[in-house]
Amino acid sequence: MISLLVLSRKKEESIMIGENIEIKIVKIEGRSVKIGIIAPKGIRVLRKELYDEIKKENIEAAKNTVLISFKDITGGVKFENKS
Amino acid sequence: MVKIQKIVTKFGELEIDEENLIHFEEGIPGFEKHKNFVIVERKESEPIKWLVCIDEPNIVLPVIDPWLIRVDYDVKIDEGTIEMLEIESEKDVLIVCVLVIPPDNPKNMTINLLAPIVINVKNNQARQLIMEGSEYKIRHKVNEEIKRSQKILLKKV
Repeated sequence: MISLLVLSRKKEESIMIGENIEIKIVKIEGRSVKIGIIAPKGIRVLRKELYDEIKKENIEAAKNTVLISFKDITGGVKFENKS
Repeated sequence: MVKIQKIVTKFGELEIDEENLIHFEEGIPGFEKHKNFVIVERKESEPIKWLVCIDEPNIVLPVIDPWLIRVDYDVKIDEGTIEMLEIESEKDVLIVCVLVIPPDNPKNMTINLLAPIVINVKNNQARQLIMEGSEYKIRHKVNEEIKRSQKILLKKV
């Protein structure tokens, strides 16, 4: 079970997650906060809304998997495979 | 020694050669717990291919070579992904993008160009790359992109 840990930080203060991830409050401007993140290259750091949108899109894609004919949709147009 | 697994999918029973298993260490957004997939091809639906989850064969995502739809598609693979998938050469990289096909109106299918699936064919490690900040969107209309690509190709002639 995941629980939400809530910490109060002031500008310039940081939070460590594990040994390799640091989250720093860089600037506080009105209603928004600039957050600096130091994390190993392999770890994906993303705005949550973007991740959620992609998640939603993948789930949507998995719903509709009728074996359709691509030609019916594109009129048989083909291109050279670049890769 | 080659191991073969049999799974039952909506395409019927498939024999999967373990060599063709694609491993997503992080899973895929929406299916984070599912790490093992295989790409299935069917003549009837070519060039659309199917990314089938081995552990949960009801999970199937339609995918396609994005350059068939957007000729000038540009995928920038970040260092983190290169390291994670141990990519040694551009030649070892296979890229497919996920399609959303509305069942009532398949002509309006869309392709996710913002988050391509990157596969290192040398070791079968894969990840769905999210190109935040790129010009691409999660939903590009396939028929519009094809028209645009055609115009580009005609200009080059």
